[in-house]
Amino acid sequence: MKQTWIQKISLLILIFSLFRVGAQAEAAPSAQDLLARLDQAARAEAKVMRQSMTLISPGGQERKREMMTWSKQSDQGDQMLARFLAPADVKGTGILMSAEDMWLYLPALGRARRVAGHAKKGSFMGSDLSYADLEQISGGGFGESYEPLLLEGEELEGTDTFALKLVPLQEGGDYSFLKIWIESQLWLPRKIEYYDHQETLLKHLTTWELREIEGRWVALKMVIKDVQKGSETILEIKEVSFSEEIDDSVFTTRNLERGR
Amino acid sequence: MTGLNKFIQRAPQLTIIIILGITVFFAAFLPRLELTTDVKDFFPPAHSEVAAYNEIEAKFGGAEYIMVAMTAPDIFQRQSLIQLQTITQILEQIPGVGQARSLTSVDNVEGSEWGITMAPLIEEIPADIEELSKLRSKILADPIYSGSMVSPSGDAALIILEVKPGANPVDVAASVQKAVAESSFSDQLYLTGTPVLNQVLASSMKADLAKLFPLVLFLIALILYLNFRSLPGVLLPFSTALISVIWTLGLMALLGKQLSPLNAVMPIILVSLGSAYGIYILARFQEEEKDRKGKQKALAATLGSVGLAVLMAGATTIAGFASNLTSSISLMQDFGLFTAFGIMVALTISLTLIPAVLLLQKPLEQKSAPPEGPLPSCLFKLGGLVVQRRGLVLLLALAVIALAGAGLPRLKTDSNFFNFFDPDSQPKAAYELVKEKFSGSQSVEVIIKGDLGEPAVLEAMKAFQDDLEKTGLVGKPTSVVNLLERVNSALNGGDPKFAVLPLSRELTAQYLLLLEMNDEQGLISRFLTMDYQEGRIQALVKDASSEGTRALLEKIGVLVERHFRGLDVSVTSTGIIVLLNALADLIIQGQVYSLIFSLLSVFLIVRLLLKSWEGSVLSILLIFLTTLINFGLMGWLKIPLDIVTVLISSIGIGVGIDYSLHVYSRYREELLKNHSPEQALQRTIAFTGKAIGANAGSVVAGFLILIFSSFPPLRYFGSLVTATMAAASFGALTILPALICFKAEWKEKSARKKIMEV
Repeated sequence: MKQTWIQKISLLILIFSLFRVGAQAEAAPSAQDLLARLDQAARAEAKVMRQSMTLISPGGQERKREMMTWSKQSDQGDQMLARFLAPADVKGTGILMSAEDMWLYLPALGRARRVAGHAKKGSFMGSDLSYADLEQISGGGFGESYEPLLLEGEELEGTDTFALKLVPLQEGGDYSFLKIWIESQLWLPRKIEYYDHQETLLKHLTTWELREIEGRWVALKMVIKDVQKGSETILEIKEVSFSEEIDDSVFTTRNLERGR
Repeated sequence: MTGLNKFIQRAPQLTIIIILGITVFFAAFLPRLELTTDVKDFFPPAHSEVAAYNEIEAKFGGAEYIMVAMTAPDIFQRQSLIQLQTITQILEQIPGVGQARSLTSVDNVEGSEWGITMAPLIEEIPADIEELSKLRSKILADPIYSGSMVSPSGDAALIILEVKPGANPVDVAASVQKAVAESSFSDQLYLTGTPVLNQVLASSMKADLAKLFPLVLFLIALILYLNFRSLPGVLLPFSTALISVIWTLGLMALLGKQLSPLNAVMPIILVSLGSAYGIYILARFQEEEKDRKGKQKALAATLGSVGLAVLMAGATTIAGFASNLTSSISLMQDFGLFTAFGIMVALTISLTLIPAVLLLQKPLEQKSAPPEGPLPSCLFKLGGLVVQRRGLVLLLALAVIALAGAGLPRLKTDSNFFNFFDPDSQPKAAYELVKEKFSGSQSVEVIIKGDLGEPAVLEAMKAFQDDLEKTGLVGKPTSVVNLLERVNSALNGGDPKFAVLPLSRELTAQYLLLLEMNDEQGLISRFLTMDYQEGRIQALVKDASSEGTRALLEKIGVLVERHFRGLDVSVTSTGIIVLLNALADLIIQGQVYSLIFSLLSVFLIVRLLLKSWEGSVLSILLIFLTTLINFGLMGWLKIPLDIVTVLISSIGIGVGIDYSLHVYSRYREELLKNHSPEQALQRTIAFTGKAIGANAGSVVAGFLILIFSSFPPLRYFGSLVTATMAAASFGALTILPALICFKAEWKEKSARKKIMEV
């Protein structure tokens, strides 16, 4: 997720051009513009969050977990520390992720262990979102992996949206394409549909409880439904802060092993 | 009968138009008719075994797998691994396939001094021989893969395809089969698993029917021609049979019912039996028309005489089929209901359409009158022999009965669909290959409900699995226990000493969390529910026959008692083989009920028709013996009682009773002519012998065609119905007269005694 200077400059140009578009009033924005604005709105230099994740199986059984995450997006690459708070038997379990590395700490075992391989591939903690999905929606952005095409926008939950079809730039991904509906004022995604390789709907993500926190608009609740499996995941943000300074020492194995 | 007769007499055209209209109506639904081979469809919807199966499917994902085995001199040659990877990727892209697990696609958890690796088992196929041989020894030494994904000798690999929930397993199997056939190394690939089997069964059954049905039609037409030697003589009974098939199958389609391996023989039964009624009517009409002037009179006489007899013969046949309604197997109920309906249609058409057409057409031209020659001397001799040597006849009969009775304990039920395939057929070959190289292709699923986060429960599961494996009845059982052991070892530097269960509840929970973080293939959810309150132990079964399954389930019961007693858990077993086993039980149970029901209802009908206790009791006794002989024969010949052969007894009773009826009514007719019982019996055998032989011959002809089927159960079915008809007709001409003789003698003796006493 390391940004090159080219990307940074292009982003600046983009933001500048969007202001100008705003000034000239209502010239139709291109698909690329829309996606860039969406991605930009999701970026956060630093984010501290307490969230809960509820998994609901097709059979109706539930599993709920709560965790605290610290994340930072910077020149040195993205860093993230996640620590489980509940349920009690996994409390203190933590993962530390940086661009290259992943470390794991299990309190019942003691000592952090490095995890190699594709731990970031696949489903996020058994949820209906993959690590890649989550990364894209919570700051990583879609622009790097998808080519946007403009679709007819529509009204969703009483607000106007822009709609885009996102086609993967590279073959061999998880999806044939995505459809995304973007809230036209707040630049938050309201709904994302993921289509499998047979181009049938695989799952959809919807966002709820949009709130302004520290000057930023945030969707406090995300519901992901796998329409093929029938399972569901609910992600809820309990607390979030974008202004907290996160010291680099947070993202160390020593801190990971502190377990709290 | 007279009301119907009047209507037909008044409006023959209208009768024909109405019948044709109804036929067109039902024919329109025919294309909708489908064939099912899903074992679940055999059960009533609320059956507990099916409910248990559906529950685990909903909770853990499919328990039906499509297995593709790939053979090669050495799987660990670069070329072979590339082939395995290619076909795995191709199969994974097929719509409806959830996942394709093989050596080239699975993830592996491995430990080392510095941490753990979670990566594909084979990240890149090695190019040099040394690397390949290292990979070979590593994988073959790993109990998780050796014997489940690759044969212990390394000469076969398995690709396990999971069918997505909601997708039709049979359709998915068809696409997989196509993809495998199109592969450039298809000769190395073997396809098996329940969905594949069902798919092959469905398609070959359709092909089989398409081949056999015209044959039966041809044969019936030929018999009709030999009987009547005229076009209407062939066409009328023939169309009767066809119309009954169209109405019946059309009604099934209309009601959303499906054909199954069980009732696929229905069209053949309907044609064989349904044409007979027309034959009687037509033959009698020809006779009456010669005697009387005018068709109307001839028709009225025909319907008045033989019409009633045909109605009664039909009634016993219908009762025989309807006896299947007492079965708890839904498809068997359908079979009973719709075949009974079809026979009823054939009866109705014979009594309406045929008379209507006969009224409208020109007088039948008899090219050559049926030869009414002298009584066949051999039958007369047989009659004499039976009457004189009745003691010997009964003694021989008793010997046959004893022999048949001895065969009864040897009778086996088997509901495994694999029996539908010849030993050298492709599905059977693949099944045997997977059984030989791996454990098997069908699984038993042991479901544990309770707190699976609790180390004591996990330890019990572990001990249960170890003991289950030691029985030798299954391959290596797999559950969340194996996953936990693997993570434990990996997080302890890959030390195999640590391939044991974690000791604390916390560590267990944390391992599970770690596994979930990396559970790309949904492995955890296949073995454990979200709330950790339910888990499954899965084991591939080596002997999936009904007997093998029964032995296995018994063993599982013992082990469950041994390892889970005292724990707060409940344990149940399910899986396709468990369903098949339950089906076998239902078959036996259903057979007993339907036997009782058919004997009883046929007895009542016969009593009504013959108005004689003696006649009805003796007839029923004879048909009971015939049924006994059928089962004894099956026991001795090792023909299992399965979903097709189970139908024989109801056909045997419903149709076979007719011969006894003929013999007994003729006997009474002869008695009225002032013959002694001995003389009357001898004459009866001589007179009815030929008719009975001809009737049995035409009934058997249709069923005999089934020996050309590609399915062993249908072949057995055809031969056994033939044997039953032969026994019923021969018994009616020998055992029944001998019994009547004895009865008469005994009656005479007791009468004489009474006179003496007086």
